Parts: sequence; structure tokens; C-alpha cells
Amino acid sequence: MQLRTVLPHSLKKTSAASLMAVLALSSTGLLQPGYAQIKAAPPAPAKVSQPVDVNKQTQPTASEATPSQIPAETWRKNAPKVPPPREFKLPTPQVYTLDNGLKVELVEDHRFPFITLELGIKCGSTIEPREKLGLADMTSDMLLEGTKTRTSKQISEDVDFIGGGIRAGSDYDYSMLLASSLSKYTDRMFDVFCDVLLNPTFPEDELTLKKTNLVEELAMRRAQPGFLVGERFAKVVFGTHPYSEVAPTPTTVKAITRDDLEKFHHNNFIPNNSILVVVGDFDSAKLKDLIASKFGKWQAGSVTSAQEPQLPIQHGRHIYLVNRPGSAQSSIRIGNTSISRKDPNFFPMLVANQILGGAAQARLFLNIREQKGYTYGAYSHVDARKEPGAFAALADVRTEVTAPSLEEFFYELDRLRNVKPSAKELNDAKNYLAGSFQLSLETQAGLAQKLLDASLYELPDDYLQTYADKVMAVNADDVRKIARKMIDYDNLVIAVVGDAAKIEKDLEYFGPVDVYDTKGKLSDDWGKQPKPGS
Amino acid sequence: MSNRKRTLLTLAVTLLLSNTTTSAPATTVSPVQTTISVNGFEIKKPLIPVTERFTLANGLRVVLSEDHSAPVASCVIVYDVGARNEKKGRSGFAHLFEHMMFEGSENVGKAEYFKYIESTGGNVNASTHPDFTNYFEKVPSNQLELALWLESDRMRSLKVTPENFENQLQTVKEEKRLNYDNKPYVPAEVKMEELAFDNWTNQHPVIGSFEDLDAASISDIRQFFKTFYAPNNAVLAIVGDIDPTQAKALVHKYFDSIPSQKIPAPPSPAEPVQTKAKYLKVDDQHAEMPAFWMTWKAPPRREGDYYALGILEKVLSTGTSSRLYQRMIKGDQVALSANASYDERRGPALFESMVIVKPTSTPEKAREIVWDELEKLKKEPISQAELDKAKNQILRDMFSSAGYYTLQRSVGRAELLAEYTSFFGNSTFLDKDIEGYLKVTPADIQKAAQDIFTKDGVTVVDAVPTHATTQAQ
Repeated sequence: MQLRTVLPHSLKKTSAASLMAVLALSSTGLLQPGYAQIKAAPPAPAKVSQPVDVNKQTQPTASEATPSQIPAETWRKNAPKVPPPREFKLPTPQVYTLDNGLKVELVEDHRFPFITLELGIKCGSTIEPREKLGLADMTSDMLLEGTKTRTSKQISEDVDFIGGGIRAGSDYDYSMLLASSLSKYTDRMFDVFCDVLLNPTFPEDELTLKKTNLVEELAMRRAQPGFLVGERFAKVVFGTHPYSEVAPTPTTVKAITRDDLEKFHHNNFIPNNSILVVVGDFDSAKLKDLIASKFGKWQAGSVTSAQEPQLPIQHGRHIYLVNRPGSAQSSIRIGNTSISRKDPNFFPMLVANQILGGAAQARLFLNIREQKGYTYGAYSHVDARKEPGAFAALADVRTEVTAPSLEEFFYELDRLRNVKPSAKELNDAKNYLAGSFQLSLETQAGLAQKLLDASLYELPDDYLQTYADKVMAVNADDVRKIARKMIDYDNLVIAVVGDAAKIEKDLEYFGPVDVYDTKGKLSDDWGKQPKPGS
Repeated sequence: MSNRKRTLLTLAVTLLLSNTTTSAPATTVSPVQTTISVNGFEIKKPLIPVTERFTLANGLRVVLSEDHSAPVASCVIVYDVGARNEKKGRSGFAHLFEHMMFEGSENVGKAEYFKYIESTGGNVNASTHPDFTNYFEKVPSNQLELALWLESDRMRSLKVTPENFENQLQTVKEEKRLNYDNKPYVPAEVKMEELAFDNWTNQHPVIGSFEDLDAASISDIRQFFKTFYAPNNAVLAIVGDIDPTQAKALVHKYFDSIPSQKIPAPPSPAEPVQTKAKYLKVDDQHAEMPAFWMTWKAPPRREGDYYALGILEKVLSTGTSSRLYQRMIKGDQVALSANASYDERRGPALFESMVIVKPTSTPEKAREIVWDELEKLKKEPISQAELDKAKNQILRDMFSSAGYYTLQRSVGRAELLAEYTSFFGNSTFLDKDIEGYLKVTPADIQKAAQDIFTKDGVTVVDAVPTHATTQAQ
């Protein structure tokens, strides 16, 4: 029962937020196999709990805790010797380009009667007008709400009938149309897929409903401390850059018209800006014919590029506190901007982040959760996007240990900058990254996502093949160098969501504190009693 | 097709047919799949080819399934213990104990379990359920022995110290604050389960209460370990890029010397038939929108209307063409979300519908619509096309990339093998279950709806937002 998600799956399926979360994670290579997949309703859903881990401490003697009837078996003392890795080679996709510029990548997989399609388009929220935030995602989302020959309901019926699933959404830099089905219905899957991609009608009534629902969903997201802390953090770190907007507002959603969607779709959903990846139980020759007949008529266009403002420079440490009275915990996010996906420091950055807070064996978790017990989990993330994304350390901690938790965050951030990681720490982090990358290729969606990512970010052709080698080549100096560069220790942005009445005073020890309400407004008088009659 | 041969994802019909290991033991089960047809649906049997099953002298049951399509090996151990084995006043115990299993054993230090696995790039985790507890490791295939060394060490010599115990007690409390108390709708959902069941064995939450957790003593914990974490109460499944002969030898090496224990029978989970509707209103300080649950008692796994209810869950709320979605989100626009789910257990279970209500409507109005949809299912048989759609979705659950139980993942296959062996003594019941779903008829659906969705048998819980978080204090 624990960790049961109560948020209904229909919300998850239609919510761009969940799609974006998956994309963001996968694009940084931090996707842990098994955890970031959107959950399908299984015969009996797994309720997997967060791991439990502990810090290295003095061991109690064996006699004190081990039942005496256990026979001594000294041969068990050391971990077994590891044989060399078994031979394994990444599948090589068949790659080709249609006349209209659509890049296609195919991998046959005959283990199960299933097929997975992922289409990525190089356009996202960074090119939408600021007064119409949410336009890119709404355009993607509305693809599934009606075509020249299918109503919204018919699209749903057709997809559900073939044991299929289809989702669309836009992130900051990219839009995606993702689908899968039982492979015996491959023709029907491609038929619906191309219909929604090429012939959407964006019906007015469906748009009205989507907008109404999105406005309500935005209100619900405001109830989540995780949303509030992410919103405040991004606003400060990214300033006027489009990456600063983690979600549209009710006003910008209401401003979106059917005409806006048609234009955005017409101008940006073009084959010469797109990549199609198909992994599954198919015959390549036949599938190529199908792709030619379905995608061949897609008209090429000219690519829109965004002019994006400079990222802001932070001066000194500053605390941005979102007051959430009654909050049982404080949600903390500390960090700066990081690097872009194509940055040559990408691999050192991944390793540095891994050592700091990439997993339950990393420093933040061992310190703040295991040693101090302040939290259920403390981690860090690197979000390397088309342009520099954010680097952040984060945790949800008990209200009364908010300030002590901040101290530990600062300690760990400083230590990563100043002290070389041990050989074992470095090695563990690298093995983790290389191994989890390899293990994530077990599923069709896992492989398709990696192939699509590499193509969208325009990474070198040998990127996936050499990923593990590049991780393993990172050394301790690389880690310290990138830590010094990415952790701007004196100018860290600190966002906190919690009960201001209980934590504001303590936070002032770390820097000037601005208090916001949960609507995102700066509130100077948060501590004052409401005036009678006002 | 040389390209295909090098493809990691190409499983290999060749693999399935070429079990040429010369030392293959006599007990090896032939993993050849055959295609069968049920009501026009073709499926391969067995869905998960088992290479070998065997039982150690101490009672540990073991299932091996060889598959070289990716250089990955997954181990799952299912212990036949969950919240239902807890005594009154000790709720949350099974889950607290699951945490203790990562606190070190004779040869594995405190922080080390996760470190060992994660430093290989593998995954490790566990979860506690009302009727079982599972542990898994997914590792690069050359690291199989490491996983077996770790699992066997804690099964034979877990260290239960006061420090570890106190630390994990705090961690579990934090988990409760984070994932229950601080989230919209979750506290109300816990109340719903407490109200819907009448037998304490079923109704108490897996996470337990702070009072019970505080009352737990270290000797309770030690006794719990000795009683339930014995080889004869466990099933081990190993799936993936393994040499079965070698894997079997390793299992003997690491698990043979662990003694078996006497396992007490779990308390009876029997539930009385509900004869009067139940209702509860719960204030929710984190919710922005009102929500409610409508819940009915439902049969255990593989009994009574089990398969029909699995199909009904799909018909009602899987996919955007489902009945509740089309009616409540699209048509009448009364809900932000509307779900139906069958919370399957080995004992009495629940069929739940959860609806988040739009501000323009009311919970009362939305409930009338849910009832209306359920009445339709009772009155009219569903069409063959709608039934076939639901069955295709059952197959999707098995074969897609998403979800813990998908066959695309070695962990999913290992989990299914271990659970079926633990619960029913036979992993081939998975094939029988899929057949069971595919055999369901429109009349079965209608009968199940009539059996389950009664006016007297319902438990309704309203979660009412208090908007505490958005008001100035």
C-alpha cells in the first residue's frame, strides 16, 4: 500500500507534466530503469517502496546481534569475485531519411507481440509567445482530440481497441508523439498515428474543455509542495528565459485560441524537423513501405528558431520562501544553472551529480537521510537541455529541521567543490551510470527513448555506443573541476516551500528571505493578522 | 538477417529452442512456447518459459528462467508475509521490517546493501503488501552471484540492533508524513480502506499507525524475522542472462545451510457480507477539489467473478474511450478524473472507484452518474467489440514497456514467477489467468456487475477540501 499514487491515471495520461518529467529525466541520462515509465494499469499494480539505505557507521559485533544458532560460515565473509561482463552489443538501428526530410530509425524486436513508435519534433515551449504559455503543449495534446475523419472518441476507441496507447506533449525544446500497440495491429496503429499528426482539426468544443480542465489541474498542482518549489526555483534561476516557466497560468491558457493551435502546428510540426523511431515486432522491409505510404505526403516547411535571452546572474545567496501554512514538511531546492546537453562537460557533470546525490548511495542521501534522519530522501539532479538547464539538490524535510538540513546541503555542496572524491566513490558512481544505462535498454520504450534523445539533441552517431566508455573515462579531477564550475557556492538560489511562521526566522541566518504565497505572489505582510473587516 | 542476430532485443526464438546446455538437469522443463487460440485471441504458452524449478531441502522454492536478449539478470524473493500477518496493536510491522532488511547482516555492513547493487548499475528495492513482501535485484548478468550472496546473507543472519531499529522507525515515520499525511486524498483513502473492510486483518493500513510503530520493541522485530523470513516461507526467482546449471549451483551454495522454521498460519481474513451502505466524510487540508470513493468488497484472486472484474476495470476506466472517462470527463464534464480499480488480494479484496469532482459539479451529482453507469452494466450485456477491446488491454498490460509486471522486463517476469509460485504453488497459473480473462463473456460481465455493485454493499467516503493551505493564518 505504501507509495500508492492516488492521482488518477487519466490525469497522468493526459498531463503533459508527467510526460515532461519523463523526458527531462531521460534526457539527462538519469532515468533509473523501472521507475520513470508511465504506469499502465497492470493486473495487480506494484507498490514498490523507496529503498532503505544507511550510512557507514561502526558495526556492532556479530555476537551482539546474530542469533547464536547460525553456524559460522567464514567463506561468506567477502563479496564474491565478479566474472567479466558478458558480451553485449547495442542494437544498431537502420537509419534513413525520407524525401521530405523525416529521419527514421528502426530496430526489430521479436520477443513480444508489441510495437513502439516515438516521434520527436524539434519545437517546444521556448518558441511560444509569453502571453500564450502552454500553446506548444496544448497543440500536441489537442492532436488527439479530432481529425478530418475521426472524432476524439473515435481516436480513443481505435487506439484502445488495438491494445494501444498514445500520448502527446511538449517540453521546453521538443514535442513528442508516443504510441504503442499489439503488433498484430501495426497497420491500424500507423493509420491513427499519422491521422492525428497530419490531419488534426483542433475542434473548438474539445479545446474549451481542455482549457477548462487544465486551469483546474493547475489549481490542483498548486496544492503540491513539489510544484511550488520547482516553480519558485525556476523563476529565479532562469529569469526571463523561457525555461523559467514550469507551467502556464490560467490567464495564458485562456488566451489560447484554435487559430493559434493551427498556426503552431502548421509552422512547426514539419518532417524536416522531426525524427521517427520504431522498435518492435515487425518486418523491416514491410514497415518501410508502410512508413513511406503514411509519412511520405507530410509537407516539409521552414524551421522556426528561438531568440532566447541571457540567463540571469545571481548576486549572493538568497532565499525564496513559499509560505504554505500547515505544511508538515519543508521542500527545499538549492542550485544554479548547469550545462547544455551537448556541452563537453556533460559526462563529468553526470558523474559529479551522481556522487553528490544521484542515488540512495550518494552523499546527500547518506548524510541527510541516513545519518541525520531529517528526510525520507535527499537527491540532486542535472537537467541538461538544448540550452543550459538547472542543477539542483533537493529534499522534503521535517519542518523543525529545515535549517539544519540547509546546513548539511551547504556542507555537501562545498565538499564536492573542495575535496577529491575517493577512488571507490568515483568508481561506484561511474559503474552505476554505465550499468543503469545498459539495463535501461531492456524494454522497447527504453531503447526508443535513448535513440530519439540522441537524435533530437543532435549527438554524435556513436553516442549510445560510446556512452559507457565516456562515463568510465571521467577522473577525480574532472569531477572537482566541474563541481567548482557548476556549484556557484556563494550565489546559490535557495527555494523553500513550508510553513513560514515556523521556519522564516531560522532561514534568515542563511541570507535575505523573500516570502511568497502559494499563488506565486510576493507577500510582504504574510505574518500579519488579517485586518478585521478586510 | 545478421543485423537481427546482434540485436540485443531480439529474443530469440532461437534461444527458446536451443536449450543445448549439455549438463541440463533432468528436471529442466522444456521452455518451448506453443501458440494457442482463445476466443479468437492468439497467445503463446507458457508466457514466461521456465527453465527449471526445484526446492531445496530447507523448503526454499526456486524458479529459473533463462533469456539472453539483454545482459541483465533479475532476482526476486517473495516472502509469504504482509500486513495481514500482523497482530492488533502492531500495525505497520511488516513494512517496518522490510526496512530492517537493508540494515546489514553478518557479512554485509549497514550502508552496503544498496551500495553493492547500485555500484554495479543495478536496481534494488522492496515493497510490502497486505498479503506478501517482495525484494528484488536487477543487475548486469555477470553480477548474479553478488545478488545471491546479499539475499542469502540477510535471510540467514540479519542484524537487528537497537540503533538500526530506531533509525528505521524514524525513517518509516518520515515516509508516512511524506507520502500519506502531506498529500491530498491519501489520508482519506486510508480511511476508506479502514471503513470498507470489517475485519481488522484486512482494514489496517500497511504503513501502520505512529502509536503502534512506537510500541514495537526490538524483541518483537527479532521474533518476526525468525518466524517469517525463513527459506520455507520464501520463493526465489532468477530470470535473464544466466547459465541455469551455474545458477542452480549458486543457489545451493548460498541457501542450503539456512534452517527452516515453523510458520504459523495467517489470521483469517474472512469478511462478513455487507448488508448496509457505509458513509464517511473526511476533511482534507491539502486537497483543492472534492473527491470521493465508492467501494465494494470483491472476491480474492482467481476466485468467483475475478476475471470478469479485471475486465470491468478496463471497461470502466482504462483508456480515454472507457465508460467513466467518456461520460464523466468528456460527456457530462462533472469530473477531473474518474477511476475504477480492482485492488486484488489473496483474501477478500476491494473494487474501488475514485472520482475527483469539478467545482462546477457536486460529489452527489457525480455519484449518481457512477451509479447510472454501473446500472447500465447490470442491465445490458456489453458488446463483443467493447469486450475484445478490454481483452486487448489486458494483453497490453502484459506486453507493453510500462509497468512493474510487464514481460519486457526481467524483473517483471521474475516477480510474476515468484508471486505465482508463492501464492498458488505454480507459475503456470499465469497462463491460466490470461486464458481466464480471454474467456470472459458479456454474460459474465453482467453477472459480476450485478453481484458486486449493490446499493447495500457500497462504502462511500467523501474527501472535503478545507483549503487550509491557501488561507492566510
